[in-house]
Amino acid sequence: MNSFRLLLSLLLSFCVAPAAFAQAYPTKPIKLIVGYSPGGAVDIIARTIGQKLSASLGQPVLVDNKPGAGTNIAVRSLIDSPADGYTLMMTANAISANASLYQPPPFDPDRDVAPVSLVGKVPVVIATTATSPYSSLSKLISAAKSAPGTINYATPGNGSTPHLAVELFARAAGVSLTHIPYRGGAPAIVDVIGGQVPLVAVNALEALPHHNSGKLHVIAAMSTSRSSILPGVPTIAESGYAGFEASVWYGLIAPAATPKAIIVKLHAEVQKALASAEVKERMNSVGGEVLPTTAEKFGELIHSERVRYEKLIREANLKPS
Amino acid sequence: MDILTNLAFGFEHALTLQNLMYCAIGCTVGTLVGLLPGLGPLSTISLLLPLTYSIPTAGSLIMLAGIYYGAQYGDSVSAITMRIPHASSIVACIDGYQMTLKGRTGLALFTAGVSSFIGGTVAIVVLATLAPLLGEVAFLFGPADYCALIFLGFVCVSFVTTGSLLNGLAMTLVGVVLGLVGTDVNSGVARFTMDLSFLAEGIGLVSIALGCFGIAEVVKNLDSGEERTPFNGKIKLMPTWPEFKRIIPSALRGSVIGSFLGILPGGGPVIAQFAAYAVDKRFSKYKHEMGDGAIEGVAGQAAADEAAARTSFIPLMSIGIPENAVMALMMAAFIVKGIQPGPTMIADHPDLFWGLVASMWVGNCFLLVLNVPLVRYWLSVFKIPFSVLFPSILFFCCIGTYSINNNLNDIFITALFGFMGYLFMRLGLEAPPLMLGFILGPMLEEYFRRQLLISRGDFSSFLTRPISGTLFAVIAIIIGWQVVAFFLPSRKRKAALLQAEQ
Amino acid sequence: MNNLNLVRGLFLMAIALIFGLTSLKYKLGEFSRAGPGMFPLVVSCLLFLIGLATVVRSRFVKPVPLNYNMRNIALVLIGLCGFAVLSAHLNMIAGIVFLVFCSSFAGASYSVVRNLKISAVLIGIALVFQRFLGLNLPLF
Repeated sequence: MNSFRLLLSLLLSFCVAPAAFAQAYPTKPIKLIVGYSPGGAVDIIARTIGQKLSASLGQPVLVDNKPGAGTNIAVRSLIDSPADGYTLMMTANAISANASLYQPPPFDPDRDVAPVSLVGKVPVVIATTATSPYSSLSKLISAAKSAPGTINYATPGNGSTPHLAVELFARAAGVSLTHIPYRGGAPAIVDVIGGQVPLVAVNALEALPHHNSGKLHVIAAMSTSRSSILPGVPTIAESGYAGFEASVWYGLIAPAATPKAIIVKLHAEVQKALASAEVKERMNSVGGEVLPTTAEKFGELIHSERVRYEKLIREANLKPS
Repeated sequence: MDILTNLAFGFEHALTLQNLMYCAIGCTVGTLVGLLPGLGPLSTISLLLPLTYSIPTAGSLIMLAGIYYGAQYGDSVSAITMRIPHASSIVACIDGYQMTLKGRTGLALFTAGVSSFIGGTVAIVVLATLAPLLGEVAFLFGPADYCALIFLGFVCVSFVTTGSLLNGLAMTLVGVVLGLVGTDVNSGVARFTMDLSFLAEGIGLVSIALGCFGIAEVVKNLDSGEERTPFNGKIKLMPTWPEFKRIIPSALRGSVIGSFLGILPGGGPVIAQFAAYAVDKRFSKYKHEMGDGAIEGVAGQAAADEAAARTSFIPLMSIGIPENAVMALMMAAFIVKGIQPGPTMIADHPDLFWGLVASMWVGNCFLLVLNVPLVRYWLSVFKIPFSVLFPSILFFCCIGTYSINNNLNDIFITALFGFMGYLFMRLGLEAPPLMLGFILGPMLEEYFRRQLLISRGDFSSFLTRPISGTLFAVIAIIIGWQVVAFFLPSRKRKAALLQAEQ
Repeated sequence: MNNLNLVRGLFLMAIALIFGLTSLKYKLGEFSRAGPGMFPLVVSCLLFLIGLATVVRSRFVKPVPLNYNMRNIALVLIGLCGFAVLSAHLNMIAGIVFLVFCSSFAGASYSVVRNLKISAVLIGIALVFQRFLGLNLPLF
């Protein structure tokens, strides 16, 4: 992927800020793996952060999309890459969930990856079409109760936060819904607008443009309080299911053996990017927020989420479909 | 007259010195990238995307679009001259390469250039007049409809291959199973990887293209024993008037097919070139020459390919849904620039939309102008004796394969497919359907499984939807017609035999 | 066994069997919830049927002799694999020289001087790729 880069950089070298060339790392472009298709939330956040990083590190940050298998293909590719700081990955909750969801476990998030920094979080929303009979969560539940297992819902993939969030909520509500996995939020939304699947659970970032254009109708936000962007949409607690709040968090990870100095440098640059008004504004505009933390705290989050998901997945007996 | 005002407004933006420059850079980089084996528009755009952050929005989008359709054209050059295809130029390997073998490379490249221009122009008219309307088409297609469309693409190969429907379908299915190698998208299980970690992401398209086309072709020439004589005749670039007249109808047919199929997500543009070729093979005045170096065989597919490349922008710009990986990257480029592609984009950013549309036509003209000197340069390759050329082609195949992932293991895969390609060739099996199956196979599996999941395993759901039902009916008619055509002449022959006996 | 149509059919059936039997190792699931082995099995079965049809058809149509010449393809493949092995363990210059000298045996004529010239030019091109295009070639 990163061959021919000099030819291209020669043609366009005037585009990249020539700062920080004197320093040792980085001396070549950095590959940033994303486990979902381009145009989705993780991809957009990766590109936004990548843009900031390439400006401050003086080397282009190239986003490489490797969608499929609930980001396992991407994580595998990251783990198999040299741990030299030139291959990073923008991950979401799936990294914590997949170790329990997939059997045998494809990797160990505590052992195989090194946390760099948490980036932020965006709430999950449940949406349907404007003309759908399930115009509220209560209507959906009563419909699902009268015909168990017949209602489909689309998500960005197996083990994605929306998938797990809906499964857990459905169990609590005593209904059974059928999961249809996609390779990212965008194709899932198309099939819902097209009427192939009645419901979609995605993060707010992906659903908002279509909610605003009237093609999608968000019926519940799985956030703790009503979002300023979606004032008319009830939270999941208001619908009677407190405790089922779910948000997608995003963070930067590297292969486990990446040198400490590189992680420290990357962490510092990510903090700078998160402090910029542009990144904050982009996250806030979709009801999300940036969450600057230390690398250690992010590692603890990956671990605690893993423990939480392990319990939930075992209790709910979830399997990839 | 709204459209004319809008287009004039667009040209105002496209013809600024700065945007002209970005368009020129995009087309040049795209064409060059298309020439190199292994580097397609997808990898180039993902490489260049971060470098465009500091260019003004309109300029960067114009440049990225230029790379896309420039590469679409550049691809056909290596297919015509060396029989090394990319995803968008598989069909050019058939008649285009046959024309090269007959010493008509110049004419083939000229035809591809002019047809691309015609295809691009038709697509731009479609884009300017019908963009908002046609965007909604994507919502009409469900997983069953895509399955049907992909099957229709597979049946189209029966026309494309010079052999039989049986051989064409066989190679398509071989392509589909090869496409299955790697990690399963739903369950995460590694399939057919033989526990080799470099196969976990699947077999590279480049390995198959270089192996089954490039290397197999080299060995075929070696086997025939005779030195391919260096081409010393005068380079003929311009067609004669009768030849030129043959380009037009075929290119127009291709443009219409490409414009329509380009709108459909998934394999639209890939299917478009096969569909255009199949239609030409069926309806062209010169259909008996097809597969043997006919001008139509190059013109139709080139026009369809280029038209589809342009109209694939429609779903992105009118409903905010990217229909293939390149468009998804373009969408990311839009969003990073702070523009949300979607229903409101044309109203919110008319300068961007119409500027981009107008720049596509400027790029069209630019590609045509850029073309002529490059053709002469490419023809000089044929003055090299084959005994010098073939080790060099092998070397470029190695470098091309290696540079995708900087992985020497990939060369073994290419070598393996060189062997497979050689076997296929000796067994009379054509490689183009294999490429089609390999590209569309993973999509077919995804849609197939999704449709069965949605319908709870009910196969009749494939036939009851209006779109998929119609498409499957068309497939049934084509196959039925093929079977009838297979038996009819033999019955006639028998009747003739009987008469002779009497 | 020298009938092109028959060998083709058997070859297709062999591919179908390799993939079909391997796919049985993976979970099949049901049609309503297809496992990873389902689709490969369906496609392999179709391919097997087409192979079978080709074999049956070969009984009815005139036999076509099968031509092949293993020497040239073998030389080219040894050249490619040698290139990869030498580039990994020694360096790419050795790989290029080996590729040129090995594959040239397949040509109609053989000349050491010409091979040296070709190798020199290709090494030059590789150097240009490495220095000016930024290709990550292990030349030395």
